[in-house]
Amino acid sequence: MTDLEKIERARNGDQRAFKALYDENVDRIYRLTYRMAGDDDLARDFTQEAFVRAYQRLDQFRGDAAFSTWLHSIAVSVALNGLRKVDRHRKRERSLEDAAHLVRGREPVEPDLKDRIKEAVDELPEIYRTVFLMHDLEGFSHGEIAASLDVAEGTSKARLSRARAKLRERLGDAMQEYV
Amino acid sequence: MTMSDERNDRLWDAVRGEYHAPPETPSGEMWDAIVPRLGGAEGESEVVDLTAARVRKAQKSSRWMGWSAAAAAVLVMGIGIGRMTAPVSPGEGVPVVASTAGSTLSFAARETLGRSETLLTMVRADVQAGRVDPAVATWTLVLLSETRLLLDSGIEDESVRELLEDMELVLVQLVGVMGGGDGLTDLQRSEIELALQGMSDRQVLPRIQAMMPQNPVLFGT
Repeated sequence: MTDLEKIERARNGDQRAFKALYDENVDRIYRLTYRMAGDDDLARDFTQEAFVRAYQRLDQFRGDAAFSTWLHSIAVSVALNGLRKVDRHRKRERSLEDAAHLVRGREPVEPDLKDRIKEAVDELPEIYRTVFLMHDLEGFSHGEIAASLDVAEGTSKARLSRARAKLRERLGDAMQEYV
Repeated sequence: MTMSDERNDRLWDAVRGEYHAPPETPSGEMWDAIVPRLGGAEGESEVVDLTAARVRKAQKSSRWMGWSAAAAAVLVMGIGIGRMTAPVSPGEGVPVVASTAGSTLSFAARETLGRSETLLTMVRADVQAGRVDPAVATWTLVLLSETRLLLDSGIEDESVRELLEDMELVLVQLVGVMGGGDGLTDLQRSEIELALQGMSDRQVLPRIQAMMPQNPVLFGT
C-alpha cells in the first residue's frame, strides 16, 4: 500500500493505516526531537504531538511532498515552539541557580569534552543548530531539511556551513586534546 | 582525505556520540498515548474536527452578538448585585441576598467561560487553517473585558476564580497578537500556538467542561 493510500484510509478513520504511517516514521521523528530537546519526556511529548497534529491535518496534506517530509516539518515546528517555552523556564531556573552560586561562591571546574560539546551546540543560534542536528547528527538531506523548514536548499547548506564553522572554532582545541 | 578532514570527521563523530544521543525509540508507549487522542469510530475524539468547527462557527457567528448582549446584561446585573451587597454588615436576611449575588455572579462566570471555550476552540481550528477571522479578535477583547470585570467583582468560588485567571492569561496573549487582517504571519501563528499550548498545559478546557451544567441551550456550548 502506498503512503497516499494509507493517508486516504486514515482520513476515513482507518486507525491501522495511520499506525502503519506511524511505524514508518516514528523512529526518525523521536530521534530528531530527542536531539533537539535532550530529554526523553520532552521528546516523547513532541513526537506524540506531531503525530496527533498530523492526524488532525490529514485533510490538508496534498501530496506535493512526501508524507515524511510533511511530518518532519510539523515535528520541527512543534519541537521548536515547545523548546522556546521550556527555555524561558530554564532561563528563570538558571537565574536562580546563578544567584545561589553568587551567595555560596563558585568553584571553577574544568568542563570535560561532553560538557564542552553540549555548551557549544546549545549556544548555536536556533536556525544553525536545527540544520546541524538534522544533517550531521540525524542524516537528513538538504532537500529534506529545506522542505521541513520551508527554506531553500542553499539556505540549508549555508546554515550548516556556518554551524560547523562555529563548532570548529569552539571545539577545535578540545579535539586536539581528545585525540 | 586530508588531516583537516580527518580532524573534522572525528569532531562530528564526537558530537554525534556525545550530544543528546537518543535512546531506543519508545514506539509502543508513545502509540498507546497517541491513540486516545485520535478518537475512535464512536467519535470520542479530542481532535479538533475542522469541518465540524467550521459548521459550528458558521452557526454561532450569526448569533454571537446576541449572546454577547445577553451575557453582558447578566454580567452587569451580577456584578451590580455583588457590589451592592458587599459592604452590608451581616444581619437577618443578608445571607439570602448574598447567596443570590453569588449565584448570579457564578452564573455569569460560567456563561463567560462557556463562550470562551467556544472561542478558543474556534481559534485553534482557525490557526490550523492558517487564518483567524477578524471578528474573533473583537470577541476576544470582549471576553477579556468580561473576564476582568468578573475577577474584580470578588468571585468567592476558588475554582472559578482560578479558571478565570487562567482564561485571562490566554486571552491577553491572544489579544496581543491578533488583528491586522485574517491572514496569520509565522510569528502570530507561533505566538497563538504557544498561548493555546499554555492553555492546554493548564487543562483549561477540560476544567471548563467539568464546571458546565448539563444545559447546552442555556450556555451556548
